[in-house]
Order: sequence, then structure tokens, then C-alpha cells
Amino acid sequence: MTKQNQVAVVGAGVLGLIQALLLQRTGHQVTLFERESERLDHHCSSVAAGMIAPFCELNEAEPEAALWGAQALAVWQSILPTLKAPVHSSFEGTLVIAHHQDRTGLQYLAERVKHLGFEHSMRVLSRQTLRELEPELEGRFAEGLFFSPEGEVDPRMLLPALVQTLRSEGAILQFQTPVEDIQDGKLRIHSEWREFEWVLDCRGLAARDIFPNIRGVRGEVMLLRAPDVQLRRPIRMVHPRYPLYIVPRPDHHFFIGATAVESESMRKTTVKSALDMLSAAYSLHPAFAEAEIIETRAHLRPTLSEHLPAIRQQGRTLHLNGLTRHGYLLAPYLATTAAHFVQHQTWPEDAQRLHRPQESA
Amino acid sequence: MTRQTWEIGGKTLRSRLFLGTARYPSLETLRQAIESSGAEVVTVSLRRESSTERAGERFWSTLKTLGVHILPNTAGCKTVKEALTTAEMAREIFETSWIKLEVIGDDYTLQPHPFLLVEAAEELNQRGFEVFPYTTDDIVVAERLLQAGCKVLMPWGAPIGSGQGLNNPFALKTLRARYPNTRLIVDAGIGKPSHATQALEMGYDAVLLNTAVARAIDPVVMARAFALSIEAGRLAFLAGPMPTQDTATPSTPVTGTPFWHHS
Repeated sequence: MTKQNQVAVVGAGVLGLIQALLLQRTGHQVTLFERESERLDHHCSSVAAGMIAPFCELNEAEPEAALWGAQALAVWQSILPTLKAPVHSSFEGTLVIAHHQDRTGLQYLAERVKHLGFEHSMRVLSRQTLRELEPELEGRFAEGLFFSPEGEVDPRMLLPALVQTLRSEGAILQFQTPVEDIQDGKLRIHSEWREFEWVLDCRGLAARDIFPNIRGVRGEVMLLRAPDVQLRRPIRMVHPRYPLYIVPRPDHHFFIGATAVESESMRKTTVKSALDMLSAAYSLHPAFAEAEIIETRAHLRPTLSEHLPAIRQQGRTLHLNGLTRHGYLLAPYLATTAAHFVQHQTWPEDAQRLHRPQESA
Repeated sequence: MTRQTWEIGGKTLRSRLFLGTARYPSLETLRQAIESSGAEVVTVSLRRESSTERAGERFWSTLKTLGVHILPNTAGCKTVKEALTTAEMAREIFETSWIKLEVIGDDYTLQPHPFLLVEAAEELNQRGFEVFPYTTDDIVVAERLLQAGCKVLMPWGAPIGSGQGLNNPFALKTLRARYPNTRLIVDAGIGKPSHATQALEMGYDAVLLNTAVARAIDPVVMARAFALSIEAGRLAFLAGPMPTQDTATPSTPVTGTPFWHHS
């Protein structure tokens, strides 16, 4: 029962949803399968900060994350206005600051950005220029870095908006529909095989059958409400253990995260991690002391040994995975590349690193 | 001749570099750094959040496939009880009796807690562990650790992650001179390959480092630089450096120089 242009996407995380939208908009009839409900609060995409910060991420990421992620800024900015529901986003840049004892972390980031040739995106700030950008910090920090082309999008608004848009543009969405098996161009659902022209597997950690070395890296986040704090843009704190962002969200909300722990435990946020995150917020702005703790959450990021995503082709199935902590940063590049392949059956020249063979480690 | 084998903790090694596994851009970069460094021992910190319910299993099993000896580390422990629990878990998970014992006494400098360190070392030695204690360069603490049954000492060069090099070469030389037959490894504070060379020139058996490689712009190339610097330091130690002196000595004899040129 193969039909012209019938494409299946499996998994409704940020990657699956954006993949479905790109394909639906290039003339395919997309059916999206998701084993969980439409509340979309069960996977790691819903726990993420939604940072689109390719250059800040160079503090810990491989260079490709910045190269590929830089393309995401334009993709998000072109997609967001076309969605059927409003989504909070901002592209006001990211401010990186460090407490005195962590300031070598700033030097490290600046050196790495320069070494990889991205210095045009970076401004080195003095106490004065930092105060101009974020007056509420009142000169508490003596130096900082500013990455002007960066941004963020609120996952809690984006994911439902993508679902709504897909539906209104004619995609078929099947929630609570577990896919039992995936093979070359076909899916087994409720013990029956269904054929498609293309299948795009975006299952993340659930795809261990295809990516045996994939591991979960635990991340914990917090949501605070702090009416007395005014920040214009996400702040990234240099921290000895974790890459921590403090992201202003509508209605005086602030998102803090995320930790990175080599653990596949799905326990709730630990006291140690909460202390790390809250003291980061409090040291940034004393008015966080009066903030309400709205929520804490923990989830696992699907991580391959190169800490970069990969695409594996098996006939008419493309398996996409390994976005690790870069879901919102790298999903556009990964989905654009896969959509290009579905359209033309050739890989774009710069995609070599994506469809690398299985890692040995 | 530098690549002669040496023994430590019941194992025979060629490399004198112990490499930490934290803070690399990716597991793959770590793998390549280990390869280019030639390191045969890597340390793995076993944190409580990873060991609860063995939730870090997948990460550890990847490390186990790298073909190097694993030296588990009680990183971040502040009490004897914590250190003992972590050590027991490490023995089970990595199937090794080796343990790098870290009991931190000060949050700011991450200085080892000398009293608790000795207490934990005593207990672990009794329980059959091969204890690699991370200690200061204090000779009295060193003596107590040896009395507690340790066969290896790992004095710091400088505080963890500071990259300052050997802050107190005098104390490190004293340790080396006092304990010529004990395995001594400089652990922590190494920032540049020249620091590692200096430790090996003094006769230290090995160096343990992490951040200097992991946070280099190119960790894989830096790992190689360390391998070479350690080899240079070891060669220099074996060759026997000339003694330093306060006045210049011409390397060309002056006998043939006309007398009016002599002052």
C-alpha cells in the first residue's frame, strides 16, 4: 500500500516535529507516530532550555556543534512566524559571565571561539559595557562575553505550536501509537506492517536497537518565578561543573539549567544539583532569593560517543539520533539534511560527518 | 630506554602518564586523546549520582572497552564513610582493587584532608585495596600514609585544575629523596608539558593529569605533547642532569687563549 510521497516520522520530540514540518512543507504526506500522549511532556525536548547558542556551547562542545548550530538561527527565525500559535522566542544574544574565581573559564571560551574562527560573533565586555547590556547586574561582574547572534525559544510553547501547525497543514498525527519495529521503509504498528516511501526514525534513547552505544546523560532543570528580576536575555554562567543558563521567560519566569551527569537515573532533581542551580541564580541577582520555585525536572539526553548527532541509512529508512544537549540547536540542521536526502537522494556536501559509520567505542 | 617497563600496584606499564577522563568535549575526543598520549592508566571519578542504581553503567562500559587500566577515583568525597562506600562500589563496578583515594578537606583549594585521608587509607588497605592516596607534599602525612600500608603516594603539584605546575619543588624533592623506593606520582596542578618534564626530571615515577589535556584547544595534540615531555623528563632523570652552579664555566677550554685575554 505504498503511496507516492507517503512519509512516516517516528517520535514527537523537537527533532521529529521539525522533521515532520519540513517534509510536510515540501510536498510530502507526513504521518507522525508517537508512543506517548499529545501532552508532549514525557520526553527530554520538553525539559530543555531551548537555547540556540552555537558559540557559547563551544565551552564544552565539539566544533561541529557551532558550525551546524549557526545555521539553526536562521531556520528558527524563518519557521517561528509561520506557526499557528504564538511561541515565545528572543534573539537578543547571550551574555556570558563568570565569578572572579571562575574567570579562566571565560578566557578558555574566548580562546576556543577565536581558534575556530568565530570571533566576529563575540564581543569582550568591560564592567561598563556589561552594565549597559544588563543594567540590573549593576556592575557585579567585571568582565563578560557577548554573543550577539544567539537566541532561545520556549519549548513549552514551541512543541504544542508545532503540533497544531502540522495538523492544520494536513499532517496525520498518531499519538499513543507505539511503533513496534522499524525496517527498510516500513513500520510495525499493532502487529501489522505499514509501508512508506520514507521512514524517519527520531526516537532518541528508544532507538537503542539501531544505536547500541547511545547513552543517556542526565540533565536537571528548574523553573523559577521572580517578579523582582529583570533580565533582557539569557545569561550563561561559567561554572566549574555544568554549563548553566538562566533564561528569562514570559510572566517573570526564569528557566535554569541544565546539569550534566553521566547517569541514566530518572530520579527527581537532587539537592546537590538544586543547590548548584539556585546558588548560580542567587549569585547572579540577589532578588532571586525571593523567587518561587515553580518546578524542577530531570531527563536524559540521547548521547553518542562523539557527542554529535548522526544519521544512519537503512534503505528507505533514515535513523536520526544523538542530539545530546543540543536538541534545539542542532535539530534544524539534522532535519534539513534528512529532508534534502528524502527530496534528492543525495547528501549535501557538508553532511559527511553526520552519516559516519558506527563508532567503535 | 625510556620505554622500559615499570611496575606499580601489581601491574607492568610502559607509559608514565596517568590521564583523567573528565571534561573532554566528547567521549570520542577522550578516546583519541588516550590513544595519542599512550597512557595505559585512566582515572574515572565515581560520583554518587552515577553510582546509585549503577545509573552510569553505559559510560563506564565504554571506558572499559578502551583497553587501558582503570583507576577509579573517590572524587569529591569529604568523609571517610563516603570514601569507603565509593571505593567498594568502584571495586565491584570496575573489577579492580585499585583506588585513587581523594578525601577533600577544603572546598576552595580542594586540598586533601590529611587526617581523614590517613584514616580512610588505613581501612582500605586492610580491606585489600591498592590505595593511591591523593595527598599534599607534607612529609609527615606521607610517612603516616606509608605506615597505613600505602605503597604509592600521589602528592599534589598545585591545587586541582589550577594548572600552576609544581608550586613547591623543594618539598617534592624532599619526598623523593626521603622515599627512594616508594612509587611517587605528581597528581594535580600540572598545566603544561614542561611541568610534567620537571616532575619526571626530579625522579618522580609518573604524573597524573586531566584538565591540562581535556581543556586544551586541541586535546588530542596536547595529549601527545605530554607523552613527549614525560619521556624527555624520564630520559633526563636517567641521564643525570649536571649540577647547577653560580658561576659561568666556559664549555671551551681557555688554555689556548693568549694570556692578555685572561682577566
